[in-house]
Amino acid sequence: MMGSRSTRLGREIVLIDKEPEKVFIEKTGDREIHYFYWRLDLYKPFDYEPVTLLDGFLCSRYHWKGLVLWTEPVVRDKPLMTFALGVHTPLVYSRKWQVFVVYCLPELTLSESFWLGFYLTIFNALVKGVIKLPSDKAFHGYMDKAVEGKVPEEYRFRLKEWTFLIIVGSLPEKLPSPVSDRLRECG
Amino acid sequence: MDSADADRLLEILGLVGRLERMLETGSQQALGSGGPAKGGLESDGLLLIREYVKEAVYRFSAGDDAGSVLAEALSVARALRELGALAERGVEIIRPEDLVVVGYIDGKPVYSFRPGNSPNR
Repeated sequence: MMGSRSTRLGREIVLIDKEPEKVFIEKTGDREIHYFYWRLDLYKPFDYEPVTLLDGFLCSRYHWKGLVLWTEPVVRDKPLMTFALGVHTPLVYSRKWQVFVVYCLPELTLSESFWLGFYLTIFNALVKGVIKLPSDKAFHGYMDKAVEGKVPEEYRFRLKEWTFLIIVGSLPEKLPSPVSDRLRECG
Repeated sequence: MDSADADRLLEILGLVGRLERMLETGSQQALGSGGPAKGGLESDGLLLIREYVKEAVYRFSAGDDAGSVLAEALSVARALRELGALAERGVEIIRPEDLVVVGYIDGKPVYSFRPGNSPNR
């Protein structure tokens, strides 16, 4: 049974089981993007991992060029999310590990192709039950670490600049409008 | 370029050659017992490392900082180790090319694992 620390929840988008140093909250119109910040990642001096809601769908970023929609998150007040793969990649607990990919551009670079394949293989391992997300973690809010403000330009979550879309969970009948807009633009 | 940089450069150049030999031979030592299947995701990863190392060599020679590029190479190397560990546990390594079209959304093809890859399907 997953535990949940009794912190007062505010505007959290998800509940987490790790301890980022700060959470930057960026407001753009009605949308909030929450960036989980670590000063020292495995090999990088710092890291910002964003999540947001797009028309009600939880959304994160994967290795700069991937937009990830989580359509069937496990919810305990809020969706539960961990940070995995040694580099704080957001991984949302999902009721189904079905994975779909939609490409914006017809050809991926070598880097994009490699990292997409790596992510797909992780999901394949989750699907097969070879790796399992821990079921005994304590999830908690993060508003005590929230800071309002912008993150460095190169780390901003650009909802219209992704190369591939990954959908984890059931395929929705309708994509969030910013995602549909991007797909129309990329031809 | 000082002697320390020259040493690093030589080391990197040696690494490039070693990676190239691995790609050509599919060396079993590259990723533990599995080894990189030529044309597979592991092979792509090695190619990617080689590109980053080449970029690092270029930056070294231009007197620029190559730290961020070497960090990228390191992250790919770490991912390769994780892929090797998963492969040893029987997980099929998936490349984007392995996916198949399972439907369409907003006029775009939707790709997913081949039937049989996923017990959820």
